[in-house]
Amino acid sequence: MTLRRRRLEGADDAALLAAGAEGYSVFYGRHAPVLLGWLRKRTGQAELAADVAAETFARALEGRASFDPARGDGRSWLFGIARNVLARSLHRGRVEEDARRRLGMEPLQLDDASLLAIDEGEGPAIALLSSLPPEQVHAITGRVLEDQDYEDLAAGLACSESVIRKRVSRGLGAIRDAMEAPR
Amino acid sequence: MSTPPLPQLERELAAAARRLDLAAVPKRRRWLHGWTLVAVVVASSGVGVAAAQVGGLDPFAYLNGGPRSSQSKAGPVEAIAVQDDGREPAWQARAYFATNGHLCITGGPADQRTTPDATPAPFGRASSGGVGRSALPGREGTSGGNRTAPAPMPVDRNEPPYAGMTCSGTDSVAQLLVDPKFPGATFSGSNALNGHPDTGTVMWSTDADGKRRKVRIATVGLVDATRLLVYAVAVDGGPEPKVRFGATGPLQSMRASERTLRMTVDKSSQGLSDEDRRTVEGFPGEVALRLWAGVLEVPKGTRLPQTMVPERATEAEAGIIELLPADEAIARYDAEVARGKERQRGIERFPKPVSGVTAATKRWVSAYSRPHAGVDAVPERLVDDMLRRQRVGVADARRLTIAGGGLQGKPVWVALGGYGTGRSSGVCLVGAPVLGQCKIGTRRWKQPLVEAIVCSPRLDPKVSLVWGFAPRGTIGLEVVEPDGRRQSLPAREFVAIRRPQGERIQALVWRLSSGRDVRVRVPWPKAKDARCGPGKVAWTDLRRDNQGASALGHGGPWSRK
Repeated sequence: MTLRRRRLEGADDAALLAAGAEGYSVFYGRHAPVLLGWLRKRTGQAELAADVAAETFARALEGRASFDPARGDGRSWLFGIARNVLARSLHRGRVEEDARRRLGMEPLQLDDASLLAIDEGEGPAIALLSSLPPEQVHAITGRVLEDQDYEDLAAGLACSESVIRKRVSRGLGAIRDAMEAPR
Repeated sequence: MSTPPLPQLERELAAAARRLDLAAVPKRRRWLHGWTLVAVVVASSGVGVAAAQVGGLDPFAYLNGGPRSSQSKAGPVEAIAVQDDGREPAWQARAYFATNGHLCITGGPADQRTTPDATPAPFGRASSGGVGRSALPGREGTSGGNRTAPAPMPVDRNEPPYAGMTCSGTDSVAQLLVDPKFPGATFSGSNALNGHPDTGTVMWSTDADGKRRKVRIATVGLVDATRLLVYAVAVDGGPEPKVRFGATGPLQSMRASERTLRMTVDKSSQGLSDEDRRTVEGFPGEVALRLWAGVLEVPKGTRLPQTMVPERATEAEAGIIELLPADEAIARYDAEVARGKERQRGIERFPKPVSGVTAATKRWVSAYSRPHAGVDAVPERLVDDMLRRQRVGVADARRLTIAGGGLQGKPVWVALGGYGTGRSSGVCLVGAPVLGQCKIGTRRWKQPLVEAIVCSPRLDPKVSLVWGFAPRGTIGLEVVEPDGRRQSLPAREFVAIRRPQGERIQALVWRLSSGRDVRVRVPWPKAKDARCGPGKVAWTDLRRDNQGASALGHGGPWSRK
């Protein structure tokens, strides 16, 4: 691993998105497992998850200049894109691929090992989710997995939206830290 | 950190990021980069107006040494200085081949730091300017004001000079210049040397995300101009290009460059229709081009050519460039068409079928699209070939024909086999390529649309298996019951899907209750999904057929193995 790569891996998402191709590779490596796991959960199919994830990262790549760290971290931004891609794909009946076409990306070739990796990829994240405090589990499940609005979640728990946001953020941060920790 | 999943995706993203980064290398005061304009180009074969791309119309290019283009100069540049009547050359026309092979012609000040004939704007002058300002001297915003008596204003050497650029692909240029149908034709352009800018013109640009965005720019067409720089590229040795305003104005001569530019004509048949291939075959392999240019005094009361949507020429006297405003050009063209002249279509090249259609697929297509291919022998080869990588044993194979929709009558080979390894053991269906017909405009060609392997590991022997093919990425589909009821099947109803190496079309299998005779509607790739151009997804009816030869999809006994 090069020194630059190592330095990039310690950088925040905004720095990665501004750091060119290598930075984006690190950004991909940081978020792809969780995103794929989430998409696998939502779609029920590893292949669909892979296609949606590919389109999501392609769109994020195209729109990286618009990422504003003041409005949230990179993962929230990425998941926002993924939700949109998934919703539009479900609406249209097929996975969108406009961004991938614009970028000239080749179609994914998925073999057993890749599919297995996606299928199993959801395991650690879900396992880690269950290890979180119940209020964070509830917030993440509602917000990330079930795509509920912060407002609805806050109303259900009779607390403010900012509390829910904090719980989601802390929970996801804990999962990320745990997944990135040396095994 | 653990290894990221989908390393291929990571590589693709990194490559795309590098391409984007390269494309976004900042250039000094780049302006109007990549905007596509349509400039008036008058062909000598009439009032023809050919498509032109202004790769970059950079009003601040004088700071960098010349009109800039997104296509940098790759070859020799041929230039002509005009208006050198005892003074230093003031205006210049250039011709060169850009790195992408396009022939570009430009017109602008010989001294790139100034606008020799700058004329003041009615509401004060533009200052030295910055990125995003009006491209031409004068005010920004919508047009208006006193155009008939502009106040005199000294030349501001910081004003952006008038510069125009017109580029066209070599296919178009070759068709225009060396096609015998257009004798004496030229590839030409013009821009006014003075006057007031056409500010407020609405143009379109395409953002990086592919969205079209409305922008306002100043075009090269000027109002109230009295002088016009005209430049043209013509085949060396052909008729001398001459220019006139309108169809009856006096012919005016231009100056010729001393040297010529050599253009290599792309005579390959790649991506050409049969008609275009025959046309290109008649072209010479190489041709010498000479640049011509001249400054014309615009007769009083004459309207200058304006930007417009291009159309190919009507016939006129060889070698004559007629300068017409857009409406007159269109009227002339319409009149020619009304007299029976056919619309001239430009040569179009289409890219190769995209990757993902493997060489093996092409072999299959070649083998199995022959009408006399043996039904018994062919599927075995097909399946052997197709399944080798998938380690699937072949149990049965059958040739089916798509029952309806845009691919009605197209054959598809479907084989059934046992999938023997891994955790997905079960029954597999193997779909061979379907030759789909793609269409853009009047051009049609065939390319394989389907290549898929479908496995149904959890197949319940008590249910019928209905299968079909749909583009990869298809999520939802609809089943039409015999009584007309429609049943939508969400993605999770699809059983395991497998893809052979390189294919990008997804196959779907879903299960229904036994004994039903159903029609299944699957979003079918018509053109868009095959990457062969714009098109809508068509619905294809998949029907059961007891003869076993006209349905794409009812399991019958196969499903009860």
